[in-house]
Amino acid sequence: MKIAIKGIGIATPLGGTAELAAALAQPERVAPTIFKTDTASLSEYLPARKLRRIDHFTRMTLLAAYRALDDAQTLEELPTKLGIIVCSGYGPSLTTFDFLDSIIDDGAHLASPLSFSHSVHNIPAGVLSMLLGVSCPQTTICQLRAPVQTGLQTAVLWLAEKRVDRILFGAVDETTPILEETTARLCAEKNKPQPLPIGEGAAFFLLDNTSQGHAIAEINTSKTPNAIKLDSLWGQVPVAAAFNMAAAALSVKGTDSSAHCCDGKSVIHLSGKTDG
Amino acid sequence: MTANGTANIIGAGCICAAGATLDDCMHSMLAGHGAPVVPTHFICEQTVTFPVFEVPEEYLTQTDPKMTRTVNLLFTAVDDAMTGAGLTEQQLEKLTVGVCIGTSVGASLNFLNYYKEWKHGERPALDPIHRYLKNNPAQAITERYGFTGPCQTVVNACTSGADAIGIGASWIRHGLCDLVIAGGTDELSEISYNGFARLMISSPEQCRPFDKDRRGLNLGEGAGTLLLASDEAARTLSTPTRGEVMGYGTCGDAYHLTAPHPEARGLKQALRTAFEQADIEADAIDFINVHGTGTPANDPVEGVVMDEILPGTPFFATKGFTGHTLGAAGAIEAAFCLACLERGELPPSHGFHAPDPAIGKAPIAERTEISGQYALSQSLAFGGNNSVLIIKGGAA
Repeated sequence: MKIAIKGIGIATPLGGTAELAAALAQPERVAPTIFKTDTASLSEYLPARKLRRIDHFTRMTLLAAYRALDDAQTLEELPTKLGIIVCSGYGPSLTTFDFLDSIIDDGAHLASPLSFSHSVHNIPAGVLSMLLGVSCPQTTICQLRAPVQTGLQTAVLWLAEKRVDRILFGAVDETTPILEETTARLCAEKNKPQPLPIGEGAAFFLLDNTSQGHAIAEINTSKTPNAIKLDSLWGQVPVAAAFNMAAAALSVKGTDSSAHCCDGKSVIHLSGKTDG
Repeated sequence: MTANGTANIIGAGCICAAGATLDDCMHSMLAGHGAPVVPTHFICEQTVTFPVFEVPEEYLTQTDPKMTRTVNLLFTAVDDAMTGAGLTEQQLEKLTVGVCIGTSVGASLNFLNYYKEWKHGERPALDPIHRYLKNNPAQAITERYGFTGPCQTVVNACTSGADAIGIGASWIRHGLCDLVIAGGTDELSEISYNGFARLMISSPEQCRPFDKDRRGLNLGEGAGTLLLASDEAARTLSTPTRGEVMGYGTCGDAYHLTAPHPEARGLKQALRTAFEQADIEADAIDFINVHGTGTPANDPVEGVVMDEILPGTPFFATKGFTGHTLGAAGAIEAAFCLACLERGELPPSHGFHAPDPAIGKAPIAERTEISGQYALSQSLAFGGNNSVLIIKGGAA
C-alpha cells in the first residue's frame, strides 16, 4: 500500500512546514511553551468574509489543507477527481461544547442551531469542499485507535479503485479547557504524571498513487521502525502520527533515505526515493 | 494491490423501533405497523413535543452497563447477524476480521451532565469520560471479539452507515481481511433531539416521506449490520451467500452544510460511481430505498434524481417505521434492501398518503410483491454528503 506525497501542509502551535523544517534542523529540540494553533495566516488564502462563523477546528483544517495544496503548487488549478479524507481523535469539540453551553445557558428551546450543525463531525470536510468549490468524495473518521493509519488506508483504497486521482488527506484535533482538565484528572487517577500538555493542530497531505512527489508513504509495513516521534513539539494529541509523518516526509524529501513513524501499532514508512 | 474479490453478504442484523431483529422488522413493516412516541429517555424542553421512534428495552439482547446504548444496540445487531448466519465467535477466531461502523451520536462528546457540573466549577465523577473512551463503536466491537483486522469508525452524519458498508466492502475486495462487520449504530440523544428541533426539521407528528403534507423527520435509534466475507472465507465458514455489495458511490455537494443541492449534484455523482463499480446500468435496478426523511428539503432532491436517472423504478421509504436513525440509517436500510430482495416484497411507505405535486413522484404505498436482483439505497447527510449502495440479492 504505497502512495506519493505531493504536498504537505501543517497548522500547529509551532507554525507551518517552514517552522517545522527549522525545528528539525536544530541539534536539540526546543519544545514550544504554547500549545495553541494560530490560524491568522488563513487570510493568505481566503477572504475574511468567507471565514465568518468558521470555528477553530475547521480553521485549522482549512489552513493545513490550503497549505498542502499550495505546497503541491495546485492552488491555482485544483486537481481533477479530488477526494477529501479527514480523521480525528475527538472531532470538533469546541462547537459541541458551544451547543451544550447554549442548552445550559439559554434552555433547550433556545439552543443554538448553528452550534449544533457545526458540531457534526463531517462539517469541516464539507466546509473545505465548499470553499474549494469541489464537489467530490469525502469522508471523516473519528477514533482514538490509529486514526491516521486508518484514514491513510481509505485513501489508498480510493486511489486504487480510481474513485479519485488525488486525495487531500488530513488529521485534526483541538484542545479545550475541559479536555485539558479531564486529561490531568485521568492521569492523577492512575497515579501517572501527564507526559505532555494537550496539543492541537492539523496536518494535510496531497496524495496520489504515482511514484513522484516529496516522498513515498507505505502503511502497514512490518519493518522494525526507529520511529520519528516528536511529540514534544505537538503536545499530546490523538493525531500526532500525522505531524510525525509530516516531519518524516520533510526529513527524507530530496534524499535517498527513509524514515518511519507510528500510529499505535501501525507503521508508516516514508521514503525519499521517488521518480521526481 | 488487486481488487478481484467479491464482497459477499453472509449475514445481516438489525434492531430498531420496528423490531428486535431483521426478521421482526420486516414482519412489522410488511404488516404496516409502527408509530412514534413521546420520548422517555429524556425530558423534552422544546415548546412542542416531537415524537420519536424508541427501541423498547426488551429488544436489546446486550445491556452491558459499562457500554453506551449506542454500543449495546450495535452488539445486539451483530448478534442478530451472527445468529442468522449460523456463526459462532469461535468460528471467526482464525480469520482476519475488520470492523467498519458508522455513527453520529456514538462518537460525539455529548456528556451534558458532566459538562454542566464542570462548567459550574465542580469536579464531576469521571465515569462519563471512561464510558466515552470505551465506547467508540468500531473499537468496541473489535475489542469485544479480539479482532485483528482494520477498525474504522465513520462519522459522516446520516450517510455514515452506508459509507461504512461501502468502505468495508472495499476491504474485502482488496484482500485486507477475510470478513468485515460493517454497519451503523446510534441511540436517541437529548442533544441531537434538541439540535434537530432547533433546526426546525423535526415533525410534531408521524413523519410522512414524500407526502404533500410532510412536516419533517422523526428521530429514531437502532443499529444495522452486514457480515461481508471474501469467497474463501464464505467457503471456509460453510455459510450461504445471501447477496453482494455490488457498488458504492459517495460524493459531497459542496453547496450547503445542512441542505442538499437542489439539483442533487453530489447524489447524481454518487449514483454514477456506484453504477460504474457495480458494472450495471440504472435500468437494472429493481427498486430504490430512498433516504426519505420527510423533510421539505430532502424529498424533492431525491425526486429530481429519480426523474432523471431512475424513472419508473419503484421506490419506498422506511423512516415512517423506524424514524431517522442518523448514523445507523444507511446500514439499517441496506439490511432492509437485502431482506426485501430475499422475500420478494416491499413494505408500504408508512406515513405517505398523498403525492406532492412539486415532486411529481409517489413511493410505494402498499405492501408490494417484487422480483429482481438489484436494490439501490440512497443516503443524504449534513455536510453535503450523499452515498449510494447497490445490493445484489442471492448467491454471487
